[in-house]
Amino acid sequence: MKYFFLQTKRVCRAFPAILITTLILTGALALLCYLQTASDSESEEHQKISLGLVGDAEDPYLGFGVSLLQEMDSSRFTCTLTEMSEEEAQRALEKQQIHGYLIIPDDFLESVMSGENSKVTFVTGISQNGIGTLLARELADAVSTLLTETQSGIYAFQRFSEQHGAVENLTSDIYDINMRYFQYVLPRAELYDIDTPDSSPVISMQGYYFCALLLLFFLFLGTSGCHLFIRSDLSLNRILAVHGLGPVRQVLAEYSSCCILLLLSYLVIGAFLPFILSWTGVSVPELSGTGAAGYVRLLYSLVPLVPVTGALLYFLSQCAENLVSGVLLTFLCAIGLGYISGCFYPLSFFPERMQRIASVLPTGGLMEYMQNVLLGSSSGFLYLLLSGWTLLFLILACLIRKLKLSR
Amino acid sequence: MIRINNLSKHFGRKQILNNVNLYAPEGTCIGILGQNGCGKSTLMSVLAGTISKDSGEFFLDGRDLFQDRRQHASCVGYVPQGIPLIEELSGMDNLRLWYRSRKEIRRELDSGILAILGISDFLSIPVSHMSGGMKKRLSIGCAVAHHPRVLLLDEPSAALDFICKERIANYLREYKNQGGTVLLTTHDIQELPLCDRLFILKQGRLVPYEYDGNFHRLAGQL
Repeated sequence: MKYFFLQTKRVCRAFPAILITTLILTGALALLCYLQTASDSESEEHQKISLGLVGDAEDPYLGFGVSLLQEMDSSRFTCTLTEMSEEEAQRALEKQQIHGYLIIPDDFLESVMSGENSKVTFVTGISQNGIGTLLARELADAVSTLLTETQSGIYAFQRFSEQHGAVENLTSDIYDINMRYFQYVLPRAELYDIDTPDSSPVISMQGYYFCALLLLFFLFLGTSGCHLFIRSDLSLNRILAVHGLGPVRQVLAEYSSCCILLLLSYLVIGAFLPFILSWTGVSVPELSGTGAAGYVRLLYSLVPLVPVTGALLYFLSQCAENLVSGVLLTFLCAIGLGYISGCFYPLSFFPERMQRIASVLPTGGLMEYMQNVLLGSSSGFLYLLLSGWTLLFLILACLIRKLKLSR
Repeated sequence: MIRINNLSKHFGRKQILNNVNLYAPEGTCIGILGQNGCGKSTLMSVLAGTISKDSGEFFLDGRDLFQDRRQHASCVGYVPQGIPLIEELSGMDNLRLWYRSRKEIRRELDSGILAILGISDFLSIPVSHMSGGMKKRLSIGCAVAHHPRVLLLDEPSAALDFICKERIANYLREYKNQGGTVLLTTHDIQELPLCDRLFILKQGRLVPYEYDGNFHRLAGQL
């Protein structure tokens, strides 16, 4: 017990410095991520896929299809379609002003009407095998499909009207059908449907990054506080072991003090978080309207973060032989685990296999746990997963300590 | 009295201690000399119980301390070469780890072991701010908190100034006078007069040596 109290005392002494270092680390990383995201979205604006469109520009239906593509939300931010002649398109492609161009044959409309499969040709540079070309090819497919479907529909309507003698108001009817097409097929809300499995509530992006930053903060506490738990000179621990305080009791005492460090940091951050959020103007929908009592309840529900990250960080510090390797190890693990667990990019951006791996990692489990807490749901599997990891880390830490003491 | 019988220890293929035998009556100081890397620290660590032995016995008044861990812990005090202290905490905090109460510490500071070691001057300083001599004296103060009958010191005066060495020597004389047995390893000839008997650890065995003040002869023997 004396050893635990003394460990806690040294942790408390080092606490202000550790907290400040961690805040600086987390803040710097958050700022970097923000700047990177801002710069990415800015550069993406300038990196729309440019496609040339070669064909009969006089044709009203072709023009209509093109204008549709240029107005649709899903395509206008990602591609630019420019009508041009084939020579102009070739020159533009050579100068890499466009990613490729579509050649719509002159008899395209007639062939569609007569049921023939006249092909739209997509021309791109031979050497362009990058992702831009792949995207352009996909887009070309989408363009030709959309043009074909639009034109087929309108021509079918025109043919139907002519066959049934309804030509009197044909022009206004075609205009009307175009408008209906706009109204029913292309409105942004109906272009795609977001399907969420079993209708479970989905966390907001702000809520997601709230969880991510909190987890990163905890992981970085390991980097700035690992010096407390790394001892290159184990002579004290060896003597303590002789006097009855064996590796397991040493580890438990040190781990408990590590948890106290994390808890203190968590309480300080928790107390100041509402002010930080309001100061930065960030609004987390899951937190808004909870009131003071609700917020305290939320903080209380997130306390399991402490023993799990405590066990992880303590285990990492025991793996290190000296301070330099310890700082490097905890920092790289914080970055690596944070990345795999979706602290930097939402996990849904990653391949399915990686998502599956993340879901069984301690940090992935913690991310999911925090999101569950914000959404007011819970999962028994997560409790089991996190308890299992905590236990595993502690057992491994005990084994490492035992091994080190016996050297 | 202490008796060490056939103590052996090897690391890998290297035999560090090879059937070490030693006898020391109460109230004596045994000095162990030897070249760097000859196994002096290993001998101390094995006797202190921080490293396991391969074979051998360590008797104190007829009881094998290797077989009785509790008795071993209560009868043996050990000051290793390293610093067995918590660096971020003060001298007082470190003493509290080993002494039963603050009251006991105060008593020892007033007129006991800690007074002889002169620890009261730097009690409130964090260990990380202490000099090597202060740390060593504090380490000894911690090691003797439970009033052990045997004190193992691994190069206690290494890199210490003259005043520090003198304080430690004074303490060891007092400790011997009270019936304690001291085993110390050293490279310092100033410590040799403190020792009642000297041994040289050579090729894993302890060889008795009579120091006659001739340093060149001693160096030749090592």
